[in-house]
Amino acid sequence: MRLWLALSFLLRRLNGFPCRGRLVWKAMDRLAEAERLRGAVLEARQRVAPLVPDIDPGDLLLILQSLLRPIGTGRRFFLRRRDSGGYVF
Amino acid sequence: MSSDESFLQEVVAALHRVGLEALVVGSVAAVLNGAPVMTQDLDLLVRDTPKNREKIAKLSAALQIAAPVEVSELSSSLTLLGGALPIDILFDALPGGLTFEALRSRSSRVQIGDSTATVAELGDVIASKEAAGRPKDLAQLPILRETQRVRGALKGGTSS
Repeated sequence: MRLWLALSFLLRRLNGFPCRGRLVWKAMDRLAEAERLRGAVLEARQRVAPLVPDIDPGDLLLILQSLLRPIGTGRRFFLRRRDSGGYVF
Repeated sequence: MSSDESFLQEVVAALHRVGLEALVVGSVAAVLNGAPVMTQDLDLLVRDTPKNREKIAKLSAALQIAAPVEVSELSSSLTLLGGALPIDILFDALPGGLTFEALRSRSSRVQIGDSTATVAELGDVIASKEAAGRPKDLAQLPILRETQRVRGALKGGTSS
């Protein structure tokens, strides 16, 4: 019984560590990606805003983020209707 | 990759598997051109040939969804239901006299994961929505036009 408990504890530790490591790495990766996007959006806004003064600043940020964010980085664009009548994405 | 992007990748990969040449049009094309809009379905434009009709049936099988159904008696468009989201298949041209060939000549290739989609140009999406004139199309036009202007400004330093 003790041997079984010790083995299962060891297996949990062995499985757990790499998983947590990957999650931390992924989170760091996402953060770095978000910072890169932020920098690109701010640089583009500085360049473009004087050329399109009539566009709402909030819309401009939204458009630039959408234009500069690479495909495959978690963008959501499909609305789904729930049975309750509400919409989710 | 989000579930939306995965869905798109799955459809594009299935199109390649069955050998169906299709253009991504409508709001999804606008999204792939960088517009911040949302939609409830995926619109594909194909040429109306008997061979392509067969391939559309194969496409629904490849995606493991129900056989295509006609949208209405007045329209030749088909819808593939039963998947994560509806897929509308339009034939030959979009409103505004935008033919498959003309749209394809201005389209771009967009990488989605391992697959490459052929995507209509944003200007053509705008033109088709202007011609369609439905309230849901008209509602999207201001942000689509603004996106086009911002893209122009980013590329060439002008806002037109």
